[in-house]
Amino acid sequence: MLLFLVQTGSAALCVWRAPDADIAAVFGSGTYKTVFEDVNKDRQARIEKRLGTALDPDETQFKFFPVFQNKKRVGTVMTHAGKGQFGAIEVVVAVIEDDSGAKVKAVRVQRDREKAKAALRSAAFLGQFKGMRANDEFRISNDVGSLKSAAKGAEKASQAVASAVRKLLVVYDEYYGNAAGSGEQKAEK
Amino acid sequence: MSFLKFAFRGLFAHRTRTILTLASMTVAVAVLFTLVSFNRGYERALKSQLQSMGIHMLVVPVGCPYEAASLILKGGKIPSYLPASALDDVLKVKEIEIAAPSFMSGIVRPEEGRTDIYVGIDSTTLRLKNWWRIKGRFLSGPNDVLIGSDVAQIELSQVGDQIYVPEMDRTLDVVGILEPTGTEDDGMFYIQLATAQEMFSKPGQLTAISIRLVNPDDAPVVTSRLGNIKGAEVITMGELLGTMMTLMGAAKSLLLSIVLIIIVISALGVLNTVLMSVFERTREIGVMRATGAGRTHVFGLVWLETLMLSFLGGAGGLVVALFGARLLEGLVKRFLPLAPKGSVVALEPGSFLLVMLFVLGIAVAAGFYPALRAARLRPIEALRKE
Repeated sequence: MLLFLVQTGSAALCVWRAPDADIAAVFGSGTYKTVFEDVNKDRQARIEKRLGTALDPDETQFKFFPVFQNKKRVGTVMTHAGKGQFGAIEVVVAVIEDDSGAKVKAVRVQRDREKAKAALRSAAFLGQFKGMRANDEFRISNDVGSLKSAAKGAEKASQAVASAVRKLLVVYDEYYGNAAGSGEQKAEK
Repeated sequence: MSFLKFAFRGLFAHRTRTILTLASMTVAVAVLFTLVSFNRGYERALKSQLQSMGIHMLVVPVGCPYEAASLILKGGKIPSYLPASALDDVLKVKEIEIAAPSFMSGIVRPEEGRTDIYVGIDSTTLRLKNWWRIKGRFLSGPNDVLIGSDVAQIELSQVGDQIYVPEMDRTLDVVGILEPTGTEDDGMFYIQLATAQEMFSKPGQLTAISIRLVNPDDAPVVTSRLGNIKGAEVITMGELLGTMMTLMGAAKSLLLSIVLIIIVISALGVLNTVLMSVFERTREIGVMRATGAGRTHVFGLVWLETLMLSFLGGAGGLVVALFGARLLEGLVKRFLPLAPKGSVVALEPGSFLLVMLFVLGIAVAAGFYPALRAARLRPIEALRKE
């Protein structure tokens, strides 16, 4: 029974379903490899403190997909499954680095059951995340003055996407970004 | 005892050769024992799973039910359905305790690489599957959905959530989640029978009627009575088990043939090892004969070496199989069609004895020629040999 409760509604990890198509769309071309990073207690505590929420029970390891062009790393892809209004939403986030650290290059939704599927997957909505960094404001709303607009008809799903992007940026920052130097050794890029 | 020591010394005079022969024998026996255990375990697990379903027979539309199942998994339409009147005919048979109608259809979700299977049921299914434990409640409204534990995990759903079916433009309310059953039920979306018929535009039609009998021994009588229903055929669980085992039969025969070839090669290896040993020890055998050992002693000694070699290889193979079978099971189940839940490898003393007897039988046959050849050596000629 306990196992049942833990399993239900708590699966943040997901596969990367269309790596070739995503790489072509986001980076033009490239190859990728898969890197697993374990989550130790210190890192978990730091990530949870920054997110203001606990990691999901299955997040004991994170998966990163560094993308290469001519053996040069051009970015990193990460995936996340979150809860939308009508089922799970799987988000693919591609990050690149500049002098200020990691920022979003592109966000894609690889699986969802939302009624407003088109709006949720539209460039108008997902494009808002481009250039965002881990410490930016990720509040999603249609209220006047809010920073990001929700996809019309998929407000809860929009927030799920925003939360996923923020979480993945924070996780990336803790392993490879500016925050990785503090506390423990930075993960090898 | 000294006879055994003598045989042991002769066997390990060429350690590398003997160890390699032992290794080949070990592999052959391990594979044979695993295959025998797998065969028994698979049949037992399948039987147990079918019995645990509490269903004694199924009434399905005429045609191949396996083809229909395959079509549903691919999201296709099956060629024929049962009319709702079939249920009335079934319910007239007094030997039937429960008759649960169902309508099953699938929606392929290529983005996710899977098919969502929707099963329309009514409350009789709950009586039939009385082992179900539901978090939440059973279906009562047209938009209610009861989901299996795997679905809940994939969709991150909880009781009170909604699931949208984009292909049907229909929103379903998650009213219950099945606790893990260890069966295919874990991956299903259960909705009301009428809802399923409406969603897939097949009003009043059924894909199956699951039947539990008051007394399972009445299956032949009931089968004959249900045979009159137009457009329907009856499949008993025994037939289903038989068909599944037949489907497995071809793969099993192929595997068994490969194992038998491996064993024959191993037996030839044993024969070669012992024969080489006899050739190399011709002078030694001559001395034995000259100092009073009879043909029977020499024959027995060489035969004992063969038996020891096979016994050690066989015992090693059984030990490897005992430790390796579970690992192998995990691998095999991934690729096995119709794999029942739970363990499909039954490591039993009966199989152990059977395999050991088979191996010793092979050893007796493989050792006969070298032993005979050694026994026939004439002492004078053997002593002359350099």
